[in-house]
Amino acid sequence: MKQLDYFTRSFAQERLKAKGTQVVWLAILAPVFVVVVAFMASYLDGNRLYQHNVNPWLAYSTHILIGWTLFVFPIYTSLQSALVHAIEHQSQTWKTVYSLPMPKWSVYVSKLVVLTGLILLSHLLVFGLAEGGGWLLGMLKPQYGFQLFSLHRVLAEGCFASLLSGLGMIAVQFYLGMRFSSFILPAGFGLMVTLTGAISRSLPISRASPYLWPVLVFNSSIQTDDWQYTYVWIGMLTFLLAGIGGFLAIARRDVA
Amino acid sequence: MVPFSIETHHLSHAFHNRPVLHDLNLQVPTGSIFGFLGPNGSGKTTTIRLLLGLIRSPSTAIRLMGKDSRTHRLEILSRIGALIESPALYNHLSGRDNLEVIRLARQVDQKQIDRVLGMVQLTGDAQQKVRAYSLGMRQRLGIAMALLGDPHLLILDEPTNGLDPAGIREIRELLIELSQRHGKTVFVSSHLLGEMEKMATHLAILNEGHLLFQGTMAQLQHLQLPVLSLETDHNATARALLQRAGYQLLDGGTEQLTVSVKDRPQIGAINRLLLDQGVSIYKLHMHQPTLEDLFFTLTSHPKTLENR
Repeated sequence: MKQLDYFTRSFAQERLKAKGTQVVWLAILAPVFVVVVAFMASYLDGNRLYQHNVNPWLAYSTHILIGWTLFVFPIYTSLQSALVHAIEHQSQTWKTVYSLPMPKWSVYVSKLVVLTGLILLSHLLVFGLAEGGGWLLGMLKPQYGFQLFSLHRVLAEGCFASLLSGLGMIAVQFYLGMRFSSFILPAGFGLMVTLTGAISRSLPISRASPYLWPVLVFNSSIQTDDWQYTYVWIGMLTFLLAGIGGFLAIARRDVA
Repeated sequence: MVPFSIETHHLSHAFHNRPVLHDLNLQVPTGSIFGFLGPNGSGKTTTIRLLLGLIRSPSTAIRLMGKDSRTHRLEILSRIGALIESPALYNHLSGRDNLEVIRLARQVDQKQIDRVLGMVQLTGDAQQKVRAYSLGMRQRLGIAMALLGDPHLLILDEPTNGLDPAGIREIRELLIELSQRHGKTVFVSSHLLGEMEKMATHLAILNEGHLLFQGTMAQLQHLQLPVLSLETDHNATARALLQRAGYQLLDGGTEQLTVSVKDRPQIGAINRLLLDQGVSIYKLHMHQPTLEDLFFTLTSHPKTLENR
């Protein structure tokens, strides 16, 4: 129970520290961006994108999920992780944090939970906004047929698979953001790896990159039967291992 | 109650193989105001970081309130309030929220926030964002954060930085009260030697990672020999003559010479020596050295103490 108490207090501290920062705004803006782009493309160019009597949700959801997992999710994770850690780095408050009577693990875990929670919020928003956007397209452009079909479960499963397979990337970025005080280094690393992954996506070696696992899950298909759930398990395992390894590495370091 | 709130045993530390602390044996009596003095780069902040566990120390090298700092980290930290270098504050939060972050870790009553805000006279500015605080206000908030939770031991690194003379006096009086009336141990590193002289009961002087002195103010005064200040018509010649005769010259600038003397007959001897060599003396003045004199003597001539 004492461990839970430490975690609860650390988590309450992290929530308070995040107050008035841009982390929540970024968690909202990233999904808004990807859904708005897909919505505008559908609204303006739907006649070309959607065929009569074919479920338009298939193409619409594919645009959103691929756009999200290939580019926005990794870049957003890199920025969000750097922002979460910038709260301490910019104020140089690590020395205060570690001279309080709180175990180092509770500081680490609560920060990781805050970051993962923000990314979970973004995924919920991707799902909610995608559903809302499709519904709006059904109202504004009934000729596309959004109001006649649905794809709730696939979209929800897609968002969930994206989150779980991206956990490995989250743990890696989390460690980099905590380890390096410069905002540019972890954010730049994440951006570079994302772009490299997008370019070299067809190469077998790219499967080793945790930044590509969220998109590789979908196996270029919106059919759940074709999805590669192995990346979900690998993502979760990497999250666990990188999380523990990151903590051990951080806990051994002197505090600047 | 343990006799010493802080004890270090042969504590040494090196950054990238560059030694910065050498065999430090500190003993900070419980209930004292312990002034930790030293020039920049002497190892004061490194010592404080080691005490707080921010830098890893060798096992059994540090005991705080009688407990090993490595094996009782949380228990020890729950009884310590610290201010390390400049106060580390969350600029996007208000003063009250900064204290709330500390309160959550220390699990103390919310009323304590009001109490410490009152102690450092920040009650009226508590809702303001810290980014709008002046340097002095930030310093006072840092002290309030250290006081939150009624700690047994306060470790304060340059706590009066950025404060005006009135603020310095308030903090001095606060620390004296905490020590004398509430039995707190206050470990203060500072460059303000005059301030230390006014409030410290015990002192340690550190230079280039070596502990040069540790003891009470009275012991320090006892160690120090009186100082003779001289003004002559030719200070350079007088300096050379005195050095040749084996006197210990202190840094007195070009306008006047300062010499350590053992007794009054030595003043006569110096007088005769200079007059015999044709140097005219305009002024001879003997005085008991201040802490500042002593500090500079020790840090510029570390061997002085060993010779006594």
